[in-house]
Amino acid sequence: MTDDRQQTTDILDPKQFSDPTRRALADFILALADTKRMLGIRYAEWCDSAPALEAAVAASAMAQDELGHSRALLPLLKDFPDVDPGIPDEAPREKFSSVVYLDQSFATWQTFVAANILIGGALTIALEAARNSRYVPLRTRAGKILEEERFHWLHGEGWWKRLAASKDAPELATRVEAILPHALCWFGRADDDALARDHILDANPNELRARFSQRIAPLIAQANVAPIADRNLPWARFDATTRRVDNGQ
Amino acid sequence: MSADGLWRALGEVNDPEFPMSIVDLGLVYGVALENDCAQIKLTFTAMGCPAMEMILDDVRARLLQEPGVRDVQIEIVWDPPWNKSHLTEHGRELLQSWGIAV
Repeated sequence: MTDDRQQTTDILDPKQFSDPTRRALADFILALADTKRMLGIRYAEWCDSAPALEAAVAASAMAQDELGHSRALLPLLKDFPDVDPGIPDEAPREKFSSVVYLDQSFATWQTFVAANILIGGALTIALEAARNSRYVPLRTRAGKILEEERFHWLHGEGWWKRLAASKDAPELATRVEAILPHALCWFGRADDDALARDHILDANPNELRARFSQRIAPLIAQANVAPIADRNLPWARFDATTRRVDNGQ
Repeated sequence: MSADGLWRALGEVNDPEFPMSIVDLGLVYGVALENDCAQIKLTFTAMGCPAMEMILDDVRARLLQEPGVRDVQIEIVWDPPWNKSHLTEHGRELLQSWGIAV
């Protein structure tokens, strides 16, 4: 009983976590913040070229949200003794922990829509698992981020269904096929469960992946791509620290 | 100078987007004065609020005009997330008068 209570006590200072858990938490926050930053940048590139004025306005608002989420998360890393002090201050960096697929601009609007649902959606699943996190600074930000992400999902879902039922469906399917492995791997390898073990997240990587798969299953079916369960994920190219899947380029 | 005085001063800091105070908008979550330092808990309507720095600067500048305030510490908080229930009655009336549904 005492041990159990101890495990679920709120923690404000990450130095109270064991070294491996603290490192895993810092990597997680950085991967979230960097990927959100890149989503913001990529969304912003469509502010004046989306297929409809309303879509362009939405792209602008979503870009601002994602950049805001990144800026709300990065300062948490100031409390981590093993994190480069330049990172929370947004000093120039050579390496980022963002999803590799976001290294390049979105070639098409279908890419925008697929990235919103698959990459944005994966991050949302992870943040939902932090709603009751014992690490208070993450928990207190998760609620606000999730509130804003609700509208991103609605936007993405609407466009996804529209594109999947149109002549643009093949391009959507191509982009979904390309992004899906990045999104599915992002939750981490099955045995990388330090965050769940220490009650920072309420689920381990496999459980998070299952939640994500369940949420997007209806959309995957509409996009006419292979079911998620049939896929082999590229773990050999996955970096557990940055959560990046090397694309071999 | 008391916390009430700080609230009154913050009531003169307007949101740059809507001509209403950040108090009426419900952005101020906490106010305290300790050793001549005004300690403010502030939230924003959105995490990507483009006016964030502007509002923070305005809050600092206004509070430093108050006698007895030598320093201002602002903590940005996101919990509970802002929503329209945080508007004061006056803030709600103002927004409605501009045709904004609240």
